[in-house]
Amino acid sequence: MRYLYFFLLFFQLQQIKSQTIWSGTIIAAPDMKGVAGIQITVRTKATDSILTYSRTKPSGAYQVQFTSTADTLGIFINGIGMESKVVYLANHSQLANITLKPNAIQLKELKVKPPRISRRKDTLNYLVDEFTDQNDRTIGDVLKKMPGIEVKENGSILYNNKPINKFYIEQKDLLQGRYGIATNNITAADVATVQVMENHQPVKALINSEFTNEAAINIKLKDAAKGVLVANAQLGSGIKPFLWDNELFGMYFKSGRQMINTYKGNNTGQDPGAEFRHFYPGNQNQQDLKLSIQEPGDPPVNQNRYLFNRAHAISVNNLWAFENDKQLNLNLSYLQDVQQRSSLANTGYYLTQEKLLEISEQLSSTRRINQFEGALKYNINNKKYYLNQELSFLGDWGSSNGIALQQDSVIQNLSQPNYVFENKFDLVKQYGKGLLKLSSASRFERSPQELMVSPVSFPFLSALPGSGQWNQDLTDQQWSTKNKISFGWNRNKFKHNYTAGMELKERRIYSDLQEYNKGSNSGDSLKNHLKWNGAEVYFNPDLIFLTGKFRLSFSLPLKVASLQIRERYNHLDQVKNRLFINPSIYVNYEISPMMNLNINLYRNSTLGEADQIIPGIIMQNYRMLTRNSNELQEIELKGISGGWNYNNPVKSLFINLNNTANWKMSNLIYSYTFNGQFQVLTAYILPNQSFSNRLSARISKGIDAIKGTFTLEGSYGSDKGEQISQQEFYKSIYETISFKPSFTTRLSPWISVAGSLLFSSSRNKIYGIPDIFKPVRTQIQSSRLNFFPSKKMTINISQERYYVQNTYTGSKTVHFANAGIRYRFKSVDFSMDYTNLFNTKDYVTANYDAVGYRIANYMLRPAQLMLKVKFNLRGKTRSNE
Amino acid sequence: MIKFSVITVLVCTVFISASAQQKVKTIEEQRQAEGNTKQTARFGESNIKCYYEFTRSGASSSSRRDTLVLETGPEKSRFYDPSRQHRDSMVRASMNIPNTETIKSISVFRSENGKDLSTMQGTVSSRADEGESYQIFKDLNTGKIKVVDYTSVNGKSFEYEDQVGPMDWKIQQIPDTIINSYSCKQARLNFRGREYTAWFSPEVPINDGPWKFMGLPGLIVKVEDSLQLFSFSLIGLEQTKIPVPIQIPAGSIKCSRADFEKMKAKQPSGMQVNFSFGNLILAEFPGEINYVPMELK
Repeated sequence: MRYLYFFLLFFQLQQIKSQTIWSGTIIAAPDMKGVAGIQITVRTKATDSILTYSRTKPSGAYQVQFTSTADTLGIFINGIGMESKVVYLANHSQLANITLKPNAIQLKELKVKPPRISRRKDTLNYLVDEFTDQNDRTIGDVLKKMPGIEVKENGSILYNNKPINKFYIEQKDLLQGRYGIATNNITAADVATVQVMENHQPVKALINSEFTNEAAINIKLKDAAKGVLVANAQLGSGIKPFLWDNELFGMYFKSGRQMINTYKGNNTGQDPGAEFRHFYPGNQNQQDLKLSIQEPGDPPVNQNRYLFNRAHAISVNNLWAFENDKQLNLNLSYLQDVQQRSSLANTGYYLTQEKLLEISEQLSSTRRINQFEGALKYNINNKKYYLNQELSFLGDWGSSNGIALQQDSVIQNLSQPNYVFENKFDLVKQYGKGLLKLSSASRFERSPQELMVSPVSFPFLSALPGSGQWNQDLTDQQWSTKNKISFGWNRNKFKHNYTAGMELKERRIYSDLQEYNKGSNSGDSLKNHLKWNGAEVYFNPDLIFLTGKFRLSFSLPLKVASLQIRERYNHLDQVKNRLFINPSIYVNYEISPMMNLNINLYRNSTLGEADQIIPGIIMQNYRMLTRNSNELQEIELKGISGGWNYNNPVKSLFINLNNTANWKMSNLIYSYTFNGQFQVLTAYILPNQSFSNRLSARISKGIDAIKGTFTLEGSYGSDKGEQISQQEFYKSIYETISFKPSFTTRLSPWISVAGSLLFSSSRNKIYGIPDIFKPVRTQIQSSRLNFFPSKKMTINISQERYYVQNTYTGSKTVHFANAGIRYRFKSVDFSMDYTNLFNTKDYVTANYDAVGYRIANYMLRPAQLMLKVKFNLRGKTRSNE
Repeated sequence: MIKFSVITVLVCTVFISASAQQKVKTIEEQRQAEGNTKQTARFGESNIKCYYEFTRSGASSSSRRDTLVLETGPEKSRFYDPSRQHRDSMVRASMNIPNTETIKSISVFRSENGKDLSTMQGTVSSRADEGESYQIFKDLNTGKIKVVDYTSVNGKSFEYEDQVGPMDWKIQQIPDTIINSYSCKQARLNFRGREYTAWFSPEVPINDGPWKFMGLPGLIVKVEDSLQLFSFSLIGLEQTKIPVPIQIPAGSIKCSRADFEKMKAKQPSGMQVNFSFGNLILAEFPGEINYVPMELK
């Protein structure tokens, strides 16, 4: 072989005479040693084409041979870490030793672009920078744009149509469900990745035994934002009238310590208290008996268009993490707000088919909020053991006063303080294959309320001569304790779990309606002195069957409930004992790793609450008296719900479909009767049935090429029920349908667009009666355009259009527009916002009541101009700025 | 008495050396989490890291993309699939249960009755048709390469030597094209039964490229075969601040390329491991792998 090669070479040499051979050594200064791996290319002077090439041997020696007709040719020498050199040599064989100087040449680097969304096992990673545009300030702005993640109007976050069960920052739960504090304040530029952890079980000891299908979100900060104090301060001022909007925010994140402190204050219509909402599932507050004043409601436009406020909000959030997974949380918040509203409302009630009662009232009110909340939590969370001890307090010193103007003006004053103490304790421990769980929660709540109305013109009350001013006192006090113990173990594909529990509840409701300054006792029918003692014992076997793709859980709780109700003035003395069996089945089937199907079937019987059995009259507000039946409400609910989910992170496609149907049976029916213009809410003993169905669909698709996300949402709901109006019995159906396409995109580096369109239609029909309620159609269109003329400047324009069509008001269109400009100078942001450009001052809505309609004209905030300066302060200068 | 103390000393020494060995092993394991075997041998060093997107259009319609890495220096280089190496090391680690007394049962499913455990919580798995298991070590001076590869995650690793260079590239006299901001020239090569077209950039003076390709006067930015079954394109390039050593895993079984390819064609479909509540499940993926080799001869 080798001989043949030489033969051929020889033959070639014979044929072509002008073969040139250049050889030599490439040496490097300063030590003059040969360099290996240096690239040698020979090119003609005129053209760029490569004639031949080679590389230096470990000794630095090279040899190139070529054939060319050119007189001189270039020898190009390139190597990593060496200077590049071109030497032109005459076209004949020669020896050329070349010396190079070391030179750390920088190669043209190519940054690897990781995908916007990537999956690793159960965790989806969203790269924040890829979703952020210059207009986005906080991580909440960016979360809205991530496909699969849904941020509701109130700030709660959903994944796969289900609320997330934890919101972590750096894997720790600092805010305990009030994650609005994080999403509205943490700067998007400080976050590296948003992680969605699917099927997240927050209790580590339960990871292998209790499955959840809820997801959690984890915010991973950039290194530059860790271990330093990051602070923002904003000063804002504007017209008209004099407006102010100030903020102070500080955060500190280190492995063992986390902190976020905030202050927000404004009178521009932004509700800083919205950040303090608790979003974790199962954190709903209990229903209390509440007095109210007749005041304007919330129109369906953005809150900052109608809220006349004067708010200050402070929150302090601290977390200390110790070794062995121990953690201490302290969360405090305080909110003070004065909210003013006014509206003109027309309410219509069909007393009979022909007879329409119309009430027209002009309302104005001032609501004062003074709310303090504090919680201290100690937590141990490791693979074998979980302990949680939590103590919390909520104090609310709220009051409202208002004026309602019909023929006369009626003054209403309400003082409504509320205090809640709560203690929660949870323990989970593993014993071999078994698992023990213990949980105890105690709660005390007291709400002493007082409503003053002057003058009172209820025919029933004003028949008595007097000053016309009446006071309604109401104290609702409750104490409850809920304790349970459960033991579970796993056996192959079956998981068993047995829970035994006990709940005790004591509730006292005292009320007294009396004329002011009258001294004498009011009648017994105007008083309540209710004692409610309830006890429940239950046992709940729970069985889960689990294979790789299929999962079935079945539970059959048996509950014995005993209730004693005593009322002094109305001689009520009842004892109720009930046995409830409330079974439920849940099936989840993973059709493929990206697709799953679930069905839930349940039956649930419950006894009503104390506030539904108050026999004495209570003045709820200036034109409503309530008197409940002596009978307790008993409800039986049967339901079925099903869902189908498809999540494809590779294609950024997320689809959810859900339907829930509920049948409800109740022994009582509630009805409003009218006495003149005054409403009386009465409960009748009449077994009745209602049916409701909700269908919802959501599709979201991320499109990498335009950095955009498209979303389509649709829903249909129907409620069939029975009702009594003016002693007449009716069957009715209420239907709503809505459809909402929306999109966000970053078309190019200097422009981003977002838009949405909501169509909705609702109608109310009463069987046996020709259509007296005409359908109401609504369209809400909103769009937003951001320009980025330079890296430091952002200009945005947004508009909203509301269109309402109905027979009562005809069709009405309302336009809103905002414009703003922001400029960044070093670490200071300057911004100017002009809101409500068209100076739209009122908004009309129309919607249905049980057997009537309500048209309201709300007062809106006028055009306003704000100037803001925001300072971004940092403990250490950031390297990437 | 003397006897007793001798025994004590002996026992102690054995114990100490055993524990010392264990310590060394764990550190080594941590350091070489991606290596197939514990020991390694130094091969060379690299100062440039290139990321290639490798598209493999299988016999079925679906194609697969992976990101592979070339760590190259003046004389030596290594080409491998970091995510596959990571997945495989996770599978190996999860099969290696530290406290054997916690294992209550072991179930093994071979491929003929293989199971898909992917929906079970805590399953780690690696499919043989996802990503590349090979690590290619090149000597750019001699054109000789070493390939370290395995056919089964939990099996032995093999090593074969292969003389691939000098490669008979034909530089095409056509105008330069810009690929990913690099100005590139085109070259063609007939290699082991397939026709390849490569685009290389003299702007990056390295005679290296993805897979076994090398020997062009500039880094290969893109290369694909004429049937477009395989394609590598450069998606990232960075210079390392300090040279990074290139290590070859030691302890592999030496064989020839032909022998390895025969075993590779019969490779199992991949392994899944699930360990929860003391039950260890080892399962091969159901079905067979349709292996399309790059080298036909």
